[in-house]
Amino acid sequence: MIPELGHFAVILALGVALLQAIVPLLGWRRRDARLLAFAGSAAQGQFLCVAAAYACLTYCFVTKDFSVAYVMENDHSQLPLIYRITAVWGAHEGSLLLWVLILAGWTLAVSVFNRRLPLDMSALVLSVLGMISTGFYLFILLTSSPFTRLVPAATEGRDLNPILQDPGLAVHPPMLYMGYVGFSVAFAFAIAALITGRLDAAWARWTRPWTTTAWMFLTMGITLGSWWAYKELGWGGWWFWDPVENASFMPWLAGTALIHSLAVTEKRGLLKSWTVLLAILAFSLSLLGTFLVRSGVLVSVHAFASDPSRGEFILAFMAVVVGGALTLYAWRAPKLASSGELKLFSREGLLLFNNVFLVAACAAVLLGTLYPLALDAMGLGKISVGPPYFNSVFLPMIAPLFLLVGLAAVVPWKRGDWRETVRRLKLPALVAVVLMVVLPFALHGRTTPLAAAGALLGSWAIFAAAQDVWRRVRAKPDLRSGVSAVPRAVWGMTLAHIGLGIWALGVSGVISFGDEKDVRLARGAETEIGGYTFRFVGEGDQAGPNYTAQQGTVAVERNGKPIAMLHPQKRLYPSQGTVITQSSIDTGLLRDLYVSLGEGYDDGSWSLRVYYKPVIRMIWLGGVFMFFGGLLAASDKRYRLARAAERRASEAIEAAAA
Amino acid sequence: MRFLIPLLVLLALIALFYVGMQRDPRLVPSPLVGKAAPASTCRRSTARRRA
Repeated sequence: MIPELGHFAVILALGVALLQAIVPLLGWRRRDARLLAFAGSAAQGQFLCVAAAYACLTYCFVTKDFSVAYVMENDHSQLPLIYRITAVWGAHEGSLLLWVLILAGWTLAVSVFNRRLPLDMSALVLSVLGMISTGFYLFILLTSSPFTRLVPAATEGRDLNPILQDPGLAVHPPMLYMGYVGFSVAFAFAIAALITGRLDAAWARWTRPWTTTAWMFLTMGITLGSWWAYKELGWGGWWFWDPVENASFMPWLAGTALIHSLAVTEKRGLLKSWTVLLAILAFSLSLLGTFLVRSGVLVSVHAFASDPSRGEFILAFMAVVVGGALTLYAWRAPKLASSGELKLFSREGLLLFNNVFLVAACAAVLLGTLYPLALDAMGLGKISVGPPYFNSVFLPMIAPLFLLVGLAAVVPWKRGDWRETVRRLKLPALVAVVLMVVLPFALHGRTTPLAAAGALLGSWAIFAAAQDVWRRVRAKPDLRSGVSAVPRAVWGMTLAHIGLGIWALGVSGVISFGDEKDVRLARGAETEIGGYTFRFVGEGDQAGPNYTAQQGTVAVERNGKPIAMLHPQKRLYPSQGTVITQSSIDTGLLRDLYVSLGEGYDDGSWSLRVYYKPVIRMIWLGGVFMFFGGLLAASDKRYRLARAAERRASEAIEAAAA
Repeated sequence: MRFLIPLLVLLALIALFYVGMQRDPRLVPSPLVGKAAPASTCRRSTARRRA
């Protein structure tokens, strides 16, 4: 009964979404405020329907209803409750339901917060979101229903993939989807601007907090995914340039460019058609990611079980949504004239360069991801594009961004002043050069060209960003009033740029000085890596809730002083008969000590892989800084004040008309 | 005219994906697929040989 209710709720949601897509458009044609106002009610009703459907599926998982095919495939009677709840999004069908739940959530948020917008703009945005929802509901109902019954019912489930039985799964996909789906709001705003032809500073100011919020979730999603892969896969790597990682990274690059070009459009009224194109692009790349993961067109470690009919549906959907948007763009964008001229040495000029590098980097990632597919499609053979291509193409393209980041806060809008720029950036530049030489020695005891470059660019980004806030704080009589005088948007930008600098320090440090070793150790034997001694103490058996494990014990010492006891495991999940390695990590800001267990031998010795990963935490710490930067920027009060002022103005007009 | 370029790029990509879907994707290698999981896979073969 419950699964049928869930299925029915999805059908109901489809109906509401269709109305939400069509009625406001009619209202806009006929200038009928009642039809326009319907959009908000539809958004709220739609959310209730999807939430009900999602609750039904969760109920099936929690109660282990193995008469539902999707539950049977991903649930198990021994699975702990927390993983029965997260298993809902553990495979294709359920993760799609999570996707539409989040889309409905964003739509609901737009309907609530956009009450302050002009009614027609708000209604058109909701109409576009309704169209996107309609496509995804059709996708679920036609190809991927999670509620399909299994006849006869199974007595036991096949269990959630053991790799996904990890706290990382609880947070990574929802965050990532919040980001992917969040760009649909910027997309909808762009379409509404193309339809109405109204693309002014107010439009940019409405769109900015939505875009920043989506971007911040995507940043966190990617960061969590990287951390999860590092600790769960046992390969010790944090980024593999896998097609599906690239699929999440491309919208991030486009979204980052969009955040910056929106600033130019709001403050200077320039780059209008470019901003609209980026908004379309960011969401299109999110859809492309969905297509790549779920169609099976590329093989990846992340790929869901693929099915050609799903691939065809998403491809057709992408053609309609993106094709429609770009046709509208080709037709209407020429009318979006930008006012004013753009000087290259000004904030808007530097932001234009920022956009050029980000979009070029995004194009390079796209090219590397699709190149094997293109060669294969033309019958020119099968190749794989790996990290060497991406590292050699991508890194040089983002290096200039670091130089620009330092200038961003100092160079004013309209026209920059070289002397003032040099005066304010002398100190950060000096600090960066000193740290370029000193930092690798201080942290790692030696240096490499990459580590020096990373220290230079990273500390330049950090100190140039910090000096702007420092200068603003110092202008006030005391620290307290100084700190509160800095707007949240400035704090946000500063934190995000500092995060970028920390990220660079982490990446260059771990690539330059990271070390790994494969060893076979008898009980009591030792190996040394990165100045740490790893002694294999022994191994024993452990039992988990739904697995049995062999657990090794490794004592880590440095100069005879005990540092940590590590307990790497090999877990056997009897439900699927799979063995996975559970690495054990002693974490620290300056270094991770990482052990994963290999194979046991008859003489009692074990093969182990040990890693020394200096400053790897800084990579994710950088992501966390960017997340909180986004949070501060999106919650800046000027968005609320400006909206309140706009609402008062429109109310005054209405009152005058009445 | 330049506003038409994005649409043309999209059409080319969709054609590419359509052709790509007709082929067996498993033959397009990803940098990770087939890569040994840490230590265990290769060690297992040596262990078996020793046994």
